[in-house]
Amino acid sequence: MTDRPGKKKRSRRSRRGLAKLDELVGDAPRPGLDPVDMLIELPADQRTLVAWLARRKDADVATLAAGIGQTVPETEALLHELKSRDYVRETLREGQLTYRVAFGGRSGRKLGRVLEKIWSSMGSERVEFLRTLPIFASLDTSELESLATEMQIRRHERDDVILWQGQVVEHIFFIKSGVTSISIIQDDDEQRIKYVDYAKEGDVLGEYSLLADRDQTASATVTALSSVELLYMRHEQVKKVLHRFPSASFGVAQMLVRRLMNKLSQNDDSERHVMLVFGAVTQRLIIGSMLASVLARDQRTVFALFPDCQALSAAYDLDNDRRAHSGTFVRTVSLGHDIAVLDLQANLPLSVQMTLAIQKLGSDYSNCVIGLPLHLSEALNYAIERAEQIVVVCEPEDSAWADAQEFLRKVRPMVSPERTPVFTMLLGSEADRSPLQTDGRVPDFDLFCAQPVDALLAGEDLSGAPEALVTAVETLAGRLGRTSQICVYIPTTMDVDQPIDTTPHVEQTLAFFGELFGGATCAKAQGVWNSDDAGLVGETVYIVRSYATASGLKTHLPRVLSYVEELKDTLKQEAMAVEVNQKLMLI
Amino acid sequence: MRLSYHNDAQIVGATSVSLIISIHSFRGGTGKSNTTANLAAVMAAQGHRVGVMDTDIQSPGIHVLFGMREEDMTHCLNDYLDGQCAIEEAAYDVTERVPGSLPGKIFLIPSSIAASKITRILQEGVDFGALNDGFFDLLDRLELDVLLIDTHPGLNKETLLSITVSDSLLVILRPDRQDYLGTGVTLEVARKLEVPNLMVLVNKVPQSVERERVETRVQEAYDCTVAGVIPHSDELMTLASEEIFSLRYPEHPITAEYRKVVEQLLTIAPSDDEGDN
Repeated sequence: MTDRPGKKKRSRRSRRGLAKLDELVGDAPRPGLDPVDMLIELPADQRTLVAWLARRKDADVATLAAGIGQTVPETEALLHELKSRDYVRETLREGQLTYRVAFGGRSGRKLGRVLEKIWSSMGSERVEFLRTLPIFASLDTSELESLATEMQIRRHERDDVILWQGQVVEHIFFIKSGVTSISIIQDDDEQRIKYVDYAKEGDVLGEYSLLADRDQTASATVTALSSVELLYMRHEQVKKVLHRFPSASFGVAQMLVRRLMNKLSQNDDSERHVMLVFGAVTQRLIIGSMLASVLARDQRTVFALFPDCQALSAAYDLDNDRRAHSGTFVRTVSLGHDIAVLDLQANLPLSVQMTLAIQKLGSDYSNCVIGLPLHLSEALNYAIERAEQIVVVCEPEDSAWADAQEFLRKVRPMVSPERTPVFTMLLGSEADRSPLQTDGRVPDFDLFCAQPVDALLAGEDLSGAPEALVTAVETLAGRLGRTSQICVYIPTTMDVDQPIDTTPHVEQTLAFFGELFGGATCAKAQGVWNSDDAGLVGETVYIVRSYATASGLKTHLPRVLSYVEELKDTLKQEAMAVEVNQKLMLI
Repeated sequence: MRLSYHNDAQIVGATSVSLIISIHSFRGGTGKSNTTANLAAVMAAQGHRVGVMDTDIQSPGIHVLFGMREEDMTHCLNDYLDGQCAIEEAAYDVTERVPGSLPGKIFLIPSSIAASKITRILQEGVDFGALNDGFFDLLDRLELDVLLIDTHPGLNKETLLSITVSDSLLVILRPDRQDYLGTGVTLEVARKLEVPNLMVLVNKVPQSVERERVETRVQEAYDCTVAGVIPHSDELMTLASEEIFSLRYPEHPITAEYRKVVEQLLTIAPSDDEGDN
């Protein structure tokens, strides 16, 4: 290369920097087929296929083959070539595989809004997203920035197949936005697609293959349920990153162990439900026995106290009978459930005794309600890990509330809200009480029980208890196992700020959710959003919410998202908000 | 979704087929936008639901013929491509803005005439994925029988995309040597992209030139259907872009010629395939 007179030769570093700048500001084309490439680069047979398919939104392979006058195997070969270059995408809709042309690229000049492009692709946005991922939690900002620049981004439309079951997994994917289904395509006419799970923003795909010593294949098919944005890297790249940032290796290991533990506990506890009621002994007795009574209407249920087990027999006036018995004392009480006075072995640590208690009770009962004091530290972790629901009950009194909050601060990091919801309850013995300083935190339930405990426990049903208390307990019992939450936000304006009556659609959505999940509620809320044309726009929003079991959510989520997509078109909205387990997404 | 083609030639009706038709010319000044507006009006007068998308982002103008001004546009095609609105929010029902009581509908999707928006999209470029999605979403959401795409003159990426997805391409030229040469290039590209129906329309033909001679010459040059020959017209020139000619002069021979073009555009030629979506 000859230097032009007066021109300084650019250094290699700056040339590389300029190339990087080009890449960052968008010289790197959006994946997909550029119209010019279609004309000048594609061989004639591929061009024929693309031209035919471009005039239709999508088509299956048989129709496509007939359309272009090729056999199905010949067409599949062409599709394979086009797919490998990301010119054609696969979509899976209700078990039917179709193909569509993915146009990409941009016309016009490459440099525009340079600073904004650099900012976003360097990852103020990417970095902040990576920071939220537990496996990268230990990396500092400069390390995250370095990682962000090595990641590629892919965007998928609804129904696009991201990974096929049986496909070799060469990348790890981080879901930046959107939601995907994880399903298994079966050779079963009645249930062709079996939904096994879903993955949403912040979830990782392809991680198991990362640490395997050889290529692994995907065990399930991953399909976009909404528009999905993924950051991804090849496994080799990730391994280099892990060598560079050893703390991230630990994050990967933690993630895999957590997955394994969840799987094991799901397998182990699938038929057994454990509810923990924390509080003073009176509160535990009232709430624990009422909960057990409600649950016993459908399944065998036992209520026990730990470690002050004998307080239970005292409360039921069964001390004499218990003393005459050796081992764990079990009795069916008038409220319909069993009580178990555990025979604790003093020579064993409480943590061991807790494992024995839960194993014993769980082997005989579908539902185990265990009352525990707030100040129990040893054995707490084991119980928390097994619990499907935690209720913290305290008196409506400042110091009791403070103790409860302190306990919750310890417990909340130990539980996954998707698996173990935590409820707080103020339970007083009188209607009159001094104002509580709740420091902004509002309990889930604020109740009183005028009925003496012994009268309550001696009853044959809960008719003597305050109606509000019975309703609260029935709500808690109904929520057992329904650890997943799904909400749809239904607006009341269109065309920026024109009011519309969406009452029929709210009612329709309530009915739809009720049919799928067994129940739904609706709450009215006020929302604001920023319109480019009209500035800040306020509107009333109706939030239709259902609590679902994890399996129910996995099974019905695709149907819900299809419903929301149709509702969006009907209400002429640009997008509609759906919240799944407190993660908001726009459809 | 677009419906199937049929093996027999079919006239487009509200319940059968929806078409994408690109109106293109190799050079500017051929009367492309005016022709597009007139074809849309004739289609709507026949009861069709017609969309007209102005993809001539660099020099938009067809909106004037439909009586729209900048202040009438809350959103435009530029906003959609910029991700700021849905495509149907950039579509305007202009049926009531034109004279006459049309049994059909005309929806206009204009491009912005604001310098800032034009500059921005020229700098940042057009997102082809979004543009492509917009074509099909309009057909579905507005239940269109026909989407007419008024393209930018000459071959660029946007016009290539429009041509690729079109069922029919109407290339407009004047009886001018430069137009003849450029049109040949356009038709060659269209054939390479396997556009099912290719037609040309010769516009602004001097009164002194015989129509049959023009038609024969163009047909022989391009081996392509000549959909129409529009003679130069003082009324058309005088009207300029104030109104749509075919609505102002429904009985004029030029309007009859537009109707002939529409009949040919909307008659789907027998196809080898049974397209299915």
